[in-house]
Parts: sequence; C-alpha cells; structure tokens
Amino acid sequence: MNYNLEIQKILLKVEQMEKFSDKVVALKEAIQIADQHNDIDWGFDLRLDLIRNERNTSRCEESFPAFAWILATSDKNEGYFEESDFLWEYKWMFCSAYRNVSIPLEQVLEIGEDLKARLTKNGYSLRAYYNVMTGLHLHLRDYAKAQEYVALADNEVIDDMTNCPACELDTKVEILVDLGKMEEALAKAQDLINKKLTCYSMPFQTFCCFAYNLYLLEDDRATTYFDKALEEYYAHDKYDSSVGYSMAQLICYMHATNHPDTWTFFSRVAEWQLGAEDVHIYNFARYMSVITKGKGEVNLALSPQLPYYRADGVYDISVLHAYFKQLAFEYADAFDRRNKQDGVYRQEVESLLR
Amino acid sequence: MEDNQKQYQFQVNMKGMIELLSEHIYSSPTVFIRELLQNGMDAVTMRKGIDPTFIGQITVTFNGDQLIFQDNGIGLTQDDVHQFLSVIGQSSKRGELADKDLIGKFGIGLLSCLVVSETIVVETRSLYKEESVRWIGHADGTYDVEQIDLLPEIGTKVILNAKRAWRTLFKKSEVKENILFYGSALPIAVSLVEEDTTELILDGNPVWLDPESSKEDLLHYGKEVFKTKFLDVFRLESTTGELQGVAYIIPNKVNSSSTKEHKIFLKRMYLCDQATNLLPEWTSFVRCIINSNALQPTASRESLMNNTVLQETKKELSECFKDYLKTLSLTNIDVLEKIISIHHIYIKSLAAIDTEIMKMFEDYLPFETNQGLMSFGMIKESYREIYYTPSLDDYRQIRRIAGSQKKLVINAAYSYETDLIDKIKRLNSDLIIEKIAPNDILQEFEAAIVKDDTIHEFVNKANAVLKKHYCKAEVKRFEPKDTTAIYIANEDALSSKNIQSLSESANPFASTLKHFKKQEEVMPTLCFNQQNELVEKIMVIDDQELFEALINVLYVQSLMLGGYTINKREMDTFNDALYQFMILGMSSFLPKI
Repeated sequence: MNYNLEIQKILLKVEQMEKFSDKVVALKEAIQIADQHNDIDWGFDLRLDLIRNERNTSRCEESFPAFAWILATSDKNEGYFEESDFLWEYKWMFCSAYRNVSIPLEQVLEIGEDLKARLTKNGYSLRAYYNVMTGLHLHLRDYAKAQEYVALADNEVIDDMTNCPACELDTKVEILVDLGKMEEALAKAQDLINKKLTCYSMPFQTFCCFAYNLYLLEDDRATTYFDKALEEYYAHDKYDSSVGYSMAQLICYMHATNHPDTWTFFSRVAEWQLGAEDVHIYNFARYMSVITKGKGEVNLALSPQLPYYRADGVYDISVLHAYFKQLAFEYADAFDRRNKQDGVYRQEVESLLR
Repeated sequence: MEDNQKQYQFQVNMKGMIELLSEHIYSSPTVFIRELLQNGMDAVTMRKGIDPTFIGQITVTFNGDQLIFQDNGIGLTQDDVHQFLSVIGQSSKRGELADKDLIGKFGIGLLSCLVVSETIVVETRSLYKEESVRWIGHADGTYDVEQIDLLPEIGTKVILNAKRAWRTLFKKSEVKENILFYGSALPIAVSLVEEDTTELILDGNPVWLDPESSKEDLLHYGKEVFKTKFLDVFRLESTTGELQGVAYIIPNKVNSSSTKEHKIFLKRMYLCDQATNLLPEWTSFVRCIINSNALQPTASRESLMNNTVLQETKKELSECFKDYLKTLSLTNIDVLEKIISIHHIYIKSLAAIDTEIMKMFEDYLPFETNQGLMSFGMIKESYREIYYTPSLDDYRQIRRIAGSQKKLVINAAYSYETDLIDKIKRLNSDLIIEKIAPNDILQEFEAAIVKDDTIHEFVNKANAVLKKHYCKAEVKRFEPKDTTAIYIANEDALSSKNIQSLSESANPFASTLKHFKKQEEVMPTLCFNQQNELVEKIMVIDDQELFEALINVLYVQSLMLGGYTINKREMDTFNDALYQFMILGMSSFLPKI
C-alpha cells in the first residue's frame, strides 16, 4: 500500500478513537511510516498532532522527542516550515520542561530564552513568554516574581500566542489565593465565576481551587464552589487527565466533607498517575496522602497497572496512605533539589499532612 | 421612602421576549406542540388526582390555519386565568403534585405558542366552578379576559391561528408527526379531528412501556422508530431514576465519535435524543428509548440535569446490561457471540473495569495477534504459552520474528487490552501469559557455536563499527539461513536511539532529551546469523575497510528489511559502503597498465 494511504488510514482510526492515549499510540505508528519514507511534511504535521493529543493527558513522554524533531527539522530546513505553526506548542513544551524533575532549571531557562527569541523573530509580543514565566514562578512558589511577570504580560499586546483570557485570569486568581488574599481573588474571579470567560478547563479549575481553599479557611462558601465545580464536571462529562490537579483538590474536598462519591472519583482518576508528568504525580500523591489518612478498607475498581493494585479490589487505606506519602516526599525532595530550594515542596507536603 | 423618590416597574418587551424564546431557549418552533401536550396532560393529571378513575383525552381539531388543542382536564377559573396564564414565570402547577407528577415546571411554556401564532385564545371551564372564561393573549404583551357561555364540557381549549410563516406547521400531517415525536409515550389518548374524520393516533399505552410486549413487538417498534433492523433488544430499569425503557443493539460496527440518537422521555414527555451523562459508555452500540419520572430537566427542558440521582441511575443501567449479557450467555449464545464479534470494543471497556463481566466473557473477547484476530478462548485452546506486548513498536517487530518461532503474541498496545490481559492472567493462574519484548525473542535464538575466539573478535570489531549507529552486535543461529542479520530494538531502545540522534541538534530544547535516555543495556542489537554463509566469511575478513563497509551495508539492509526509519547518517554510510564495493569490484576489470 502507498504509504500516504497507510498514514491516512491511521488518521481515520485516530479520529474514531476515544482515548487520547490511544490516539498517541496510533500517531506514533503513522510517524514511523512517515520517517521510514523520509517524508518531513507528514513527519511535521503528525508530530504536532501527537503533541496536541498528548497534551490532553497527564503525560508528556512522546512529545519531548517529537518536539525536538520539529525544532531540529525546522532549523535544518530554514524557511520551509512556519515557526508560528509550532510556537504555541513550544509554550506547552516549556511548561512540560519545568514540570519534569530531571531537567535542570538552567536548561529550562535556556529553553525559555529560545522561545522568547523565536516569538520576537516571528513578530509576536512577549506576552506569551511572560505567561509561561508566570507559570514557572508559580511552580517555584515565588509568588512575588509570578506577579511581576503578570504585570509584564499585561503591558504587552494580546496576540495569537497569548494564553486565553480565561486562563490568564485564572492564573491571577490562583496567585491571589496562594497569597491568602481570598476576598480579592473572589472579586477578581467574577468573570470566570459568571462564565463570561470560559475555555476547556475554566471555570472548572477555578471552582475547584475556591472549593478547596475556602474549605481550608472553614468558609461556608466552599460548598457553593464545590457545587459549581461538580456541575461543570458533569456538564463536560469527560474531562481528561490534564485537569488532574484540580480533580485532586476536588477529591480532597469531597473526602473532608464525607461526600459519598469520594472513592468513585478517586477510582476514576487514579490511573492518570501512570506515566504522568512528575509534577502531576507529586500533586496527586500529596493530595491523596491526605484522603488516605485513617484506617479501614475500601472497595475500588482500579487498573492492574497501578503499583498498589489488588486483584480482590479491597484496599487497606493505611497501605495506600504509606504509598502516597512516600511518593509525595520522594517527588517533593526531587523538586526541591532541582529547584535549588530549601525544602519548599517538602514543607508543602508536611503542612498538608498536618 | 422620600417624596422625591418614585418606584418604577421594569418594562418587559413581549416581542423581544418571544424572540428570545424562539431563538435562544427553544431549539425549534415545533416545541409549541410539546408545550400544549404538556399543559393538557398536566390538566388531566390534576383531575385524575381528584378522581383516579377519570379517563383523560386530548383532541386536536384542524380548521384551515387554525388549530384547536382541547383537553378534558381540570380547567381554569377566572382567577386561575389571571394568576397563571397572565403572569410569566408562574406555573399553574401547585402543591405536592407539582413536584411529583406534573411535567411542566417553569410556567413559560404557553409563550412558545406566540412564536407561531399572533394570539393565543384559551377557552376553559373549571371543575371547581360553573363558569367559562375566554382569555386572549397577544404578542404585544396585552391580554383580554371575558366570561363566556358555559362550555359543554370541563377542560381547556387552546386556539391558535398560524402566522403566515408557520402555516406548514399547522398542517395535519405535520402536527401528527410532532405529536408522535414529543408525545408518543404519554399515558393519554390523542385524537386528530379534521372535517368529519377522527383519527386516534395515540392510545396512551406505548409498546415499549408495556411489560406484556414480546421481544418481536419491541423489535418491530424499534424498526419503526429508528429505521433499523436491530440485532436484539433488552429492557432497562432503574429504581432511583424511576426509569423504564428498552435498549436496541445496533447490528453493525459503530463509530465511537458519531452521534447515536436515543429517545429520552421525562414523565412520559419527549425531552431529547442525547443523554451523554446518563447513558453509560457501553450504550455507544445501542439505541435506547427510556422514560424517567425522577430525573430533572434543565430549564430549556431539552437535556437532563446532572445530579446524584442521575449518577445512581447510570450505575443501575449498567447493571441491566450486565444482567442482559448474563441471561444471553445462558439462553442464546449465538446472539451473544454476534454481539461480541461486532461490538467487542465496548464489551472490553466494560470488562476492563468489571471483574464479573471479565470472568463471564473472557473466552469470547477477541484480540489482535500475530496469527490474526482470535478469541481468547481459541487462543488458550491452541497455545500453551501466550505472549503479549503493550507497545505497538514492539508488536510490529515481534510480529515479524515470532511467526517463525511459532509464538502467539497479542497486541496489547491500545487501552483496555493490557488491563484485560493482566486481569485474565490474575484470574487464570494455570495459564502461562507472559509479557514479551523483541529482545526476549532474540534470547531464544539458538546460541552460536563457539570454537575459538573468532566470534568474540568479530563481535568486538562489529561493535566498533556499529557504535556510531547506536547499536551493538551479537551472533546467534536462526532460521531462515539466508537471513544474514536481524535488527532488533525494543521500544525503549528505539526511543533511546531516536533521542541520541536528536540530542545532537543545536537548539536548547534538544539538550533536555538526554534526561529521557534509557540505559546502555537497551541499545538496539544487530544479530548476525552464524548459519549464513556470508556471515561466516565476514568473520574471517582481515581488511578493516572492507569489514567496515560490509557491516554498514548489512546494518542498513536489516533496517530496511525490518521497516525501520533510516536516518541521513545511516543512508550516507550505506552509500559510502556501496561506493567502496563498486571501486573494489571494478578494480579487477580495469585495463592493466
């Protein structure tokens, strides 16, 4: 069969697939065919497709080599590919780089500089660069610096590479919440709360953040935001693993309020941990170590791929707790080392467990 | 309040309000039929609340462009008319009954009639009062009320005059179609009257809600409604959702991304054709007709509210499906096999999360293997050892080699497959089910016969050549003899090779890749065949340049044979080696000087 037809056949299969992880597997097969025939056009398009699909999962395994290929091929064939076709994906990859604990911070910053140079070269404002730098500093828990980048971004014009308005606003809200300025955060979030600004994951993530953090403050309004988050969740029906962090907060809230569906939700998202980006594993582990504090047993239908899987479906909660706690500290220490910080992540886990 | 302060009332622009309804709230102008059916049904339900033996009915009379919807329900008094027909946002549904038995809730239904008619005329006689009232609502927001001669029967008539643009909607055929669409599940008789003919189009007892209906009756009804000859049908029930219905099995493979229409009724009134939140994943290959009395509609009455009742109902629907499959496995194995062969993807997804289903159907589940698509029952009957791989890259390679090794390998690269195999393995401790990688097959090749240091030296020399290709050499004995070498790389090895080559790029992003590289042991292997004549000869070649060229050619050739990607450096090496051979070959034929 002509290899073009073979690739198109795979793409049809991809269209029919429901799971993003399956789409990634099939796209890899198509890329292999394109590469076998040294077809860089297919290679370029299919790799972008793969990155976009893997972006919808908690993983970022295949996207790294795929994006490195895109950059290398584009640089080698200058003028053949439009850089603007993959700068948006470059932003994602920058974020995935700092989410991966094995990539040194210096390299992350070098990638940031390369992204910045390419944005400028292609006539884009630096707003997109400041967007991702805000994310990096939120990851470093350096909220003052994150706010500086928010201000820098606001001074730049909006263009095609800028984060969507809903995401930009959610970031601002998240910083205020992290700084303990809850009232200010709630006031700022009105356009998200009232759904004037929406996107794939907003305002779901905003609602989860408010539900969880208001609960921590023993504020009754937590219930309202939990209800709103649940409403969004059900309205979308199939949120993918990219919203893992918010789901973990939601489950934590459900556990704290004795919600009957806590473990159903846990079962639904547990397998998102498999092969996930390091930061997702860390976040999931630290929040799940909270909900597993205690004794007793719970019946769960989980994937056999999970390291703590039990064929009889009966799980000892204290065993789960030990597993998640160890995992959370392991990743916390690794991030602290990588970020050259003195126990910032470790303290975060300790404080959660208190 | 101070004297200089006046209180004003909001003004509502009725025309704008109707536009809002027709363009934003209701998806189609035909919803006025649904609203009229609903009002009629609710009025009858109220009357039955007082007299349970009462038999309700709805009659629709056609009179040119005029339509008269008449029910024999409870009717309205003059006070009711002012209170309930003339205040938008207030429903006439009161008390406990309103929460439980009535369909309507939002009290704006009648307004939908103003989308298709300039005025709404309501003539009504209440069960409670010996008087009759005529109410005329206009599109500009005004209304008139007058007392009229006592109507002969208790109940309500709604008279509509078609707007020019909507005359077609008032035709009998059109109205009939819409009544059947919205109201086919209503527990009330509906008749159409035109001139002197009366046609009973609904008897209030739909076949799919009748517990006495046979499977044939249900299949016949399904064919009529969905225009499909279904494979089978089973009943759906949920106590939480007070739900009853039927599910028809689609007779052909379905595309998971295409929309499957269902018929969802709420309190026996049609609501929508999709209920993604309610219907579990397996419903992708069925079409359902269901009615629920406990689920809640959204404000537009065109979808279901997602709440805990709905979630519980969803679980109960899955139980119905499991029960159906269980029964089928005992009563009609042919149909069961047919369903699994057509819709195995969905059954697999269910089995992956449900051990009970897994146990029941593991023998029937089909898997893609290097011997073609086979059911697990057939696999375990024919093979003592079963292998699987969760990587598509690995499967592609193993498929090529395993055939000659008479091994059965399952492709478990896509979702559910690995989980399913893992579960099967745990449930059948007597079966030998092993994960396999291409390198495992390599290990099973017969070891090379070692007489002296030749093989050891050959491997060292070959490794020196292959190092630049991120590959290592090995010598084994395998069939067929004329195969000189096989390139084997499991997924990790291929990914390491890819990363190795990409991380040499100049951009800073590429430098991150080395952190993803796997350890040295997973390097791809070029396995030479000791039984091959050419290999035997290469082993004793002394000339380093010729040796290098031969190894390079064999390396690229085995990549080609295996369908692997050949990068530019490998292609250049191959071309250089060929060039050298040509020079060498030609040298024997050049004229002697």
